[in-house]
Amino acid sequence: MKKLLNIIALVLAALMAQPASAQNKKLKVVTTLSYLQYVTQEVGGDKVDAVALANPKQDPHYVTPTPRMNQLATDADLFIENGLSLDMWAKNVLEASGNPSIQPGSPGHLVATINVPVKELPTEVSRAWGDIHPQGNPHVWLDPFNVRIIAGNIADRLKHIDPRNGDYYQKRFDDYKTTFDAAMFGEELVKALGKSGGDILTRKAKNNELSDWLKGKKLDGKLGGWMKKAERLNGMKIMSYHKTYIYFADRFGLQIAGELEEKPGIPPPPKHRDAVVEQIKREGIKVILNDNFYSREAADYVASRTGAKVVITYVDVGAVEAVDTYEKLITYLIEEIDQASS
Amino acid sequence: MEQLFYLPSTMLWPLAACLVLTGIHVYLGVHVIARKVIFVDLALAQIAALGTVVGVLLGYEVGKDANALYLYSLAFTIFGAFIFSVTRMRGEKVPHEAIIGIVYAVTFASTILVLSKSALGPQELDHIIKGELLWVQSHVVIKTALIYACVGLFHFIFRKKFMAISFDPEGAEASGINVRLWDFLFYMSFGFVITSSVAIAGVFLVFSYLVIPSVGAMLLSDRLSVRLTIGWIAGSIISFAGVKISYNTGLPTSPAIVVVLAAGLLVSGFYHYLKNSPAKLVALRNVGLAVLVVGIFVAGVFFFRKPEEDPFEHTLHLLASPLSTDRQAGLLNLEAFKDRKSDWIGPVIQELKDQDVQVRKAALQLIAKVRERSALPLILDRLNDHSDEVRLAAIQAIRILGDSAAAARLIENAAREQDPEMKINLLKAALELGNPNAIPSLIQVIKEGGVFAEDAYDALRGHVPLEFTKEEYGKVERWWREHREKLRWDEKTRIFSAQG
Repeated sequence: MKKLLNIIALVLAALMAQPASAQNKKLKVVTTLSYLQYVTQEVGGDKVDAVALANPKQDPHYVTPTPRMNQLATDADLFIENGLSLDMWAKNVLEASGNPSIQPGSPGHLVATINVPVKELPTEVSRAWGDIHPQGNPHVWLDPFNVRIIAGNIADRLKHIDPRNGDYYQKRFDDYKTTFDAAMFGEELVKALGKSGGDILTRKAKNNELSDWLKGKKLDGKLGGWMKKAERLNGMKIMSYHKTYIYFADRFGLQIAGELEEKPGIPPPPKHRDAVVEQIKREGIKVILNDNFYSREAADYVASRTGAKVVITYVDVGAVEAVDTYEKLITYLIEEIDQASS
Repeated sequence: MEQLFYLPSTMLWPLAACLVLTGIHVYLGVHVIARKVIFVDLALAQIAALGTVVGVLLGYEVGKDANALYLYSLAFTIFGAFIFSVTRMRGEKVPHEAIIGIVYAVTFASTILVLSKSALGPQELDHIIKGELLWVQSHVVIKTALIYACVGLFHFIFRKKFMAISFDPEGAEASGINVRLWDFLFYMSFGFVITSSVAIAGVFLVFSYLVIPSVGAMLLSDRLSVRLTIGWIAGSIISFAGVKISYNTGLPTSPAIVVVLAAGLLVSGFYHYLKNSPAKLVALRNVGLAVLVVGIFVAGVFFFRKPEEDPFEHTLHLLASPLSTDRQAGLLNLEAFKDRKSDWIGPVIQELKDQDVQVRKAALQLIAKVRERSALPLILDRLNDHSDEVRLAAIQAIRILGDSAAAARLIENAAREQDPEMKINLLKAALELGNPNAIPSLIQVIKEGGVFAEDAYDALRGHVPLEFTKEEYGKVERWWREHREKLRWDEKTRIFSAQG
């Protein structure tokens, strides 16, 4: 009997000790958008359990928080948001979670887009413009270079809140960066430039001197990846419904000729509509990008009067199966635009 | 005069859509007001929308399967018509408006629930409210006009029955009309109309067309035929005015029409008041007073607007914001205030230690632009920044502001730098600041060969008084060994030469 009690006590002790052994416990990360979840999982590997709150099919500007989201946040060790006034609904989730360790300002809260060069900052000192886009254009993740920075931000934060696995996260981040740079420029080119190849190419591309620099080195034949694929898009003019694609366009040499809506979320004035139609005809624009969650009436109207093609685009990872990784999302956008224009 | 009636051809279809809406809704509005079911169109529109989102949930796609989705929303609307016809109670124990309100709230909530699972998302609700008047296409207008003509014909044929059940349901029942059946037919045809109207013009414009012209006409006449005539004529004129105003001012079309409709209602209200008051002068004075009160109110609201912050103060506040994008915007804005540099240079130098890469970079660029040498020690610290973007910006700033001591720091850093391209940048900057000690390091890179030898060669060539090819780096090496002690940098020619 005593023996039996001893065994029970031992088993109980072992069971109770289980949660304390942090080796087996995964870090719980909650992200607002799915691309953040994807990148966090890539960097965090099997030490991290990342889950996204927003439905990737829907507009990331407007998400209605649910009790399930609040529960996820309550249990989270780290909360990651896009910021830049895009996922403002995250604030409600954070407040409802009652979880003090993920509130803004604490190590368990990360605005993923710090260190990212934000475009369309409100530079004009005037109230009329300041309120529309108070923090610049938030759709930064459609430029792969920004996701490279975001992955670094996430790696730094994982190292900070889980220092025991610091080396692991650094290694995963370095590996991810390697595959990422290969996807961007092609493996051969990155390798040809040695250990800092990815950094150097990224810097050159950001300063818009990549192709000249490569030609000077007779390395332009080695360019691969998205940059090679997107060469066909270089200089092409496109229209979009919402200002979603300026980062994507700038990176891959597309020119956004304009938007169907004049201000985000407000029906455009008639003259704007007519001007868009005229512009598409005049400049021979062939492609109109329409985010999957915006209604198609406007794009269809313009297409029917101009002969341009409407491309339905997805902006977040996992909106449909064809874009279930970040890499596939970028490939999808490049290929769809290329097809529609040829 | 011609200018006054001009509308470009692209606005003709939206205007045609408005006229079609005026035609049917002014007529239906008379019924709706008589029945005291003002909000029934909102409820039916919401039911139709629920049908559409359920269709999307079940796999149909907006754009591709337009017909299937239309049938879904129509089926839901007919179901809604059925509910409204059976819930109309005799004696009004529960007001019909209460039932309508409940149906509206429940369908709205159900729509949100369904949307949370679908690809459309909450902006579909927005879409239902605002409509797409501006994007309406000719074939849609023609199709809608035909549908409304059929509905109108149906109502014209059975006008006696429809009028009886709306204006005198008790009398109709007494005379043997099946009120439930005719109520159902009324709401069904109404639902038919609403489904199409809302798809074109959105809930609030449809509601306005339904109610405002009818109410306005009611104030002017008691006879039904006169009311309809006034409603149609005024509705058409106002539609034209609204579309025209929207086109000329650049305001969104549907809301512009609603506001013009309301203005028309005000005019008819004043007319009604003046006509029916016994003392015309007193009435006129009251109208004048009313206008005055509104004027004072509007002026008061405007008077208490937020005073505009001084642009410079505003920019300084941005620098202290917790949002890094604000701090960046502040730094970008400061360029416009170069003449007040002494007021802001202190905080800007502090931004060199900001936690955000882009803020540090913007601060470096601004300091270089205004040539603030006092920041040099902190700029030199940025050479060890963990972001290569900031390091590059620091090198560029040092090129503009630096001296030979700073150049020595660049060479020091170059010796530790792993990234060959960055190393060449450091050495090149040091060289162009007149520090000859960068020369042997550049020669070393050329010697090592590979991709970056070319860059190092480009950096060196032109700054030494020798002609040499990439392979003849030995020439420069010998020249360097002979003259290293007495090299002088000439700022004008940007060439090192051996002195004495």
